[in-house]
Amino acid sequence: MFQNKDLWRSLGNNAIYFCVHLLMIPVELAFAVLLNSKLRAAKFYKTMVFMPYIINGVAISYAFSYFFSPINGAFNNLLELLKLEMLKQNWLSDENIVNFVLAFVSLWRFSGYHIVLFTAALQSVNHDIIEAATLDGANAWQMFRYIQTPSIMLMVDFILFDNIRGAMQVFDIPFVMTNGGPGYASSTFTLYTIKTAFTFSNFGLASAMAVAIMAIIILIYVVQNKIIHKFILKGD
Amino acid sequence: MADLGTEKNNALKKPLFSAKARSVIAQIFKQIICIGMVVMVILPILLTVFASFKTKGDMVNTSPLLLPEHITLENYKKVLTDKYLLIGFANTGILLIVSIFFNVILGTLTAYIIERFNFRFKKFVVALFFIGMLVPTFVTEISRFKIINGIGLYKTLGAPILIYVASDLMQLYIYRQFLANISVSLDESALLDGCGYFQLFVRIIFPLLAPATATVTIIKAITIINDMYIPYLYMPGNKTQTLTTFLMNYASAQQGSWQTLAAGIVVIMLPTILLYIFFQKYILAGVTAGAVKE
Repeated sequence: MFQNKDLWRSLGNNAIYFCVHLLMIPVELAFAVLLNSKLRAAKFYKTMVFMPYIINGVAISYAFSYFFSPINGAFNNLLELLKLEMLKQNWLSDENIVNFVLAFVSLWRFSGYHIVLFTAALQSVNHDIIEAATLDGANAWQMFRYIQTPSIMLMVDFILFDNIRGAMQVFDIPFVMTNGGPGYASSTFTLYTIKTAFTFSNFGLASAMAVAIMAIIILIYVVQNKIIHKFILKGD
Repeated sequence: MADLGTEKNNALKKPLFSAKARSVIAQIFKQIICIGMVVMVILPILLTVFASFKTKGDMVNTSPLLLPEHITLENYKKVLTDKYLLIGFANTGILLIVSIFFNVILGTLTAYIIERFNFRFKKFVVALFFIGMLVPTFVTEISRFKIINGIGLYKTLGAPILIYVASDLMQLYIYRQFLANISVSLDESALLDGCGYFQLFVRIIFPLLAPATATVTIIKAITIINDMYIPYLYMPGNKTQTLTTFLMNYASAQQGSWQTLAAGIVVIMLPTILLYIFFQKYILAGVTAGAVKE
C-alpha cells in the first residue's frame, strides 16, 4: 500500500482540498460576522449562502462541468468578456490545475455550511460582553479578534475537524466531474479506495486504506489542534 | 480671533465623514460584498438554466452567458418523457417514505429511552453513537457492503432503506434536546392515571415531539434525495435508479450534448431547492443544532 504511487498522488490531492478549505475558513468566519452585523436583507443573503449545500451534489457537479467545459464553456467565455483571453485553460483536463478547479467547486458547495454554523455560534455570544466592548471603544477588528473569535472557539474547533473529515473524504465532485482523471491526476483517497474495492475487487487492500485514512484524520486533527491553540493562546 | 481658533480646532477633530455617513458607506460596502456572493452562487445555476433552453445550434451561436433568442422546451420534453426518470422518482419516493417512517419511529423511541430511563450500559450505547459519527463512513464501507450482500439486499431498495433507517447522532441530539424540555411530571401523571408506557409514548410524547420530527424529517429527506454514493454502490441496474443515479446514467447517455443534460440537471435540482425554499427555517435549525453540541 505504501509503495503505491497513485495512492500517494491521490492523498496529495486531498491535501489540496484541505489547504484550500483551511485558507478559506477565516474568510468564512469574516463573512459570518458580516451577516451577523447590521445588514439589510441579511436573511436573504443567509438563504443564498446556504443554498449550494442543499442542492444535489451530482447535479451541481455536472453544472460545473458545463461551466468549465473547454468548448463553449461559460468560464472561458467570461474570461473573454473581461479581456483575459490569456487565462483560458482546459480547466478539467490540465493536470496542474484540475485539482484547484475541483477544490473551488467543493468550496462553492460547502462554504455556506460553515458560514451558517459560524453565524449560529456568533448569535449565541453574550450580548453584554459585546455591549461592554462597544462602550470601551473597541473597533470592528478588535471586536472580531478579541471578543467574537474566542467566544466561538468550540465552533471553530468543530469546523476545523469537519474540514479534515470533509477534505479526506472528497468523493462525489471528482468522481462525477473527472472520474479522477486525466490518469490519476485528480483522484482522491476515497475515490482510489472505492475503485480498489469495487472495480478491482481487492477488498483487503481497500480495508487497509480505510484504516489508514482514519489514522491520518486523527493525526492531522491532533496536530492542527495543537498548532491552532498555541497560536490563539499566544495571541492573547 | 478666539472664535476662529476654536472653529479651526473643531474642524480638525471632526472626522472625514459624519457617523451617519460612515454607517451608510459601511452598509453600501457590505451590500456590494453580499451581492458578489449571491452572483457567485447563482451564476453556475443560472447558466445551466440558460443552456437548458437552447437548441444545439444556439449552443454554438449564442454566448453561454445569454439566453437564446427563441426559447426551446425540447430538452425538457426529452428528459421528462424519459421512462427512467419516472422510475427514479418512484424509487426515490419509496426510499423517502419507508426510510423516514421507520427512522422517525426508531429515532424518537431511542431518544425517549435514553433520555428518560436508566439502564445498564446506557453510557456505552450513547458512546457508540458518537463513535459512529466520528468514524468516516468510507472506513466501514467494505464491511457494510459485505453485510448487505450477505443478507441478500444488494441490488434491491432494501439496501439503502436499511442504511437510511438507522438514526444518527444529530437526530438523537435534536430529539433529546426536545425531550429534556418536556416535563417529567407529565409522564408521571399519565402513568398515575393508568396509562401504560406504550400509550404514554404514542399519545403524549410522540405528538409533543412533532416540531423536532419536522426538522429531522426534512433534513433526512434532503440527504436521501441528494445521496449518490449509497444508491450508486448498492443498487446498480436500471430498475433501481434513484433521481441522482438517473442523472448519472442520463449524463453518460447524453455525452457532449450539454443542452439536454442541462435540462436533466435542472429537473434533478428542483426538488431539494423547493424543499429548501419552503422549509428553510427547519433546515437551518436542524443543521446548526446538529453541530453545536459537538
